[in-house]
Amino acid sequence: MANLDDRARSSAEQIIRAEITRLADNPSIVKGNGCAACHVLFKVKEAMQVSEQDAADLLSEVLLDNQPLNDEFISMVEQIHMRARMMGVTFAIKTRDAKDRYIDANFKNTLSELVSDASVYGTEIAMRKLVLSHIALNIAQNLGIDYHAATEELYYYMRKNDMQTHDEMMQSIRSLLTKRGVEKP
Amino acid sequence: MKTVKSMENIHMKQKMMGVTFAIKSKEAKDRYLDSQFKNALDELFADIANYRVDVVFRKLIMSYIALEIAQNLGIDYHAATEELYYYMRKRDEETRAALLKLVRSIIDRSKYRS
Repeated sequence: MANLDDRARSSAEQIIRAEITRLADNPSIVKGNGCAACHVLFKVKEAMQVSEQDAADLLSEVLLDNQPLNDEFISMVEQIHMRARMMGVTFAIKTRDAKDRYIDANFKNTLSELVSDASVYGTEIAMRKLVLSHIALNIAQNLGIDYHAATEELYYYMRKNDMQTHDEMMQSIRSLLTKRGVEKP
Repeated sequence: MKTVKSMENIHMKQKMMGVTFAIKSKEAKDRYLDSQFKNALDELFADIANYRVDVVFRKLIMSYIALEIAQNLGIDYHAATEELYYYMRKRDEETRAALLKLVRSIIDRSKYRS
């Protein structure tokens, strides 16, 4: 993780604030279906001459400590990714409280579903679901296709190599479940 | 084979998404998927070796939640991830505790736990 001294944080904050204002004034800076959040992230990376990981840490730390800026950032993301692209508009036009309640419900439901899967079907099944979704997402992002198509491509490949993929998957899951060292509450 | 061909036709060729993949031969597609599958697992192994197990679980669970939000809202994955991060930054301690509780619960139920 980056050594987030006050000076670095303060310059990152200025860069982020300026970029949010610039994007709010002119959303077309983010071309095509580009990502507004990644645009800000790469601006921090370029301007501060740090690695992508350090820039992500700086962005996250600055937004965590500055609630008004966090609000401006998410408004800008919603403006570009939802309103301008006509995607998820019924969510975008809700109040911030309603949006937070919706995300809260999604967050809690997903965690409950995973606990339920782990207790009803076993931990390996719950883990398999998580790892498969992670791989399909990687494929979708790398190929620029939708998640459904990526899942089908993955299933097709796994059906063809059933035993081999099963063994590799189980080895990965076993490593995760046998590794020690979970953060203390 | 027929199913995946018709899926590729509808989801890729007709929608002009991932066409460079769709026009490859089936063998080339299989090799691509094979490398993606192995790379993703190798990356997870590297994460497991380098970081605490809850960090790796956190990455998998958060990507899964963001994906659920994206599917439910009909928005792209980047926007869903940002909505999730925004919410988690606002409730940092609470969401951290909930994620840790899930990780602990999964590990405690594992048959590999000694």
